Amino acid sequence: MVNIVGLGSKRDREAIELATRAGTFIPNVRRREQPPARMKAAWDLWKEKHSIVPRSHSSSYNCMGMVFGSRRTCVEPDSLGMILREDGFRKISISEAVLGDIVVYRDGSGGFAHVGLVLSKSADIELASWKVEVLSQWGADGEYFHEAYDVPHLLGKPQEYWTERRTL
Amino acid sequence: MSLQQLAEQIESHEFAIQTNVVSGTRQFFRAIAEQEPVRQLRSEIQSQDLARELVIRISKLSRQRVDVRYENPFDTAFATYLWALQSVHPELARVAAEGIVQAPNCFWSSRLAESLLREPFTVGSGSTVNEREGRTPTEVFATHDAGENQILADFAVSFLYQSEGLLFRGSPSSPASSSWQEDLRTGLSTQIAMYDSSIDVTLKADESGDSVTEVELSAV
Repeated sequence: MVNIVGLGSKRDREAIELATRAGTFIPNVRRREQPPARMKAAWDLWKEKHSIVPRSHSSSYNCMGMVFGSRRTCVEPDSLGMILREDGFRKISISEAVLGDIVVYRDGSGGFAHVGLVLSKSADIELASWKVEVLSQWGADGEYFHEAYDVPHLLGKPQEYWTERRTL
Repeated sequence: MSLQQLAEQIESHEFAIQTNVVSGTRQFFRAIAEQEPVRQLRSEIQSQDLARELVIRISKLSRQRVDVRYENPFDTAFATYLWALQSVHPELARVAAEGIVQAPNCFWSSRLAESLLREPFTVGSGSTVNEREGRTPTEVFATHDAGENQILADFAVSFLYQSEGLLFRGSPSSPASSSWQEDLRTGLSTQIAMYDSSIDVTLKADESGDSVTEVELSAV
């Protein structure tokens, strides 16, 4: 199997200056937009399968770029561990999560697969659990409001909640 | 299902949408591998004739005019074809990669193609080109004053790969003349100048002078 070049080394001319709080470069690459017809088809396909509300039909950034790159670029999910560590994030329980914290999705093998921003959280008494509303970018298919578990299977499952909040 | 029918599925919006919902390189190629048309494609191209037919299709698509404002609409299909080919016919995959690196505005496929084309030079193993067995690997790089231009370096690798053995004295592409290195430098400079005329090409050979070990691209 060939070793595929990852997204955006420092020498990649499509990369932008992006670093952790500790100053480490975050590999990234800007991606061109998809044609409008393709974005429309993505919306049509996913709204049939999920209860989603679109925020933006853009494809120039991915979920990591939305959360850590101000929607300017794409970042590999494999960089997530380094970013969480060097940006001073700490893991919290779902009951502690508030607006602005992040939800991390892992795939079947336990690897980072997806990330989103927590918008709200409410108790689901009938299911004895929390219902979390999330905003996340689905690859190159658009940015959507959705319930945390309501994502395509390739994005994995919400497993962890993290925050960089500081308390007094 | 025929190759034509499989190709139509793989080149569809739906296929691209389902595989591009993921965010990372690892996840993208895993998503491709999961798709049923891809499983069937890998089975079909066990036949050398059908694999060649696929390479010809890639070549045609890679030369199609696209709307430069957007990502190449065949990017996902190219990446899928290349991924399937490299697992069954690595040599044909490299031929296809030569076409894909020329296609504009690609994302996944250009990275896979560049990786495939870079492989023989970075490892220098000779596993695919017999005459390189036992040779010192050739490093191709752009210096800082040339902006560490990865695109130029990749282009140089691509050019050199098209002419197997060009980097060695006495190979079919490099007759044992005393000027073979200069001929190589001139040929490469001419190609590079099409992209950037301010770039100079310097070659470094091993002690015997029979093999180029470094190709350096720097600003004039």
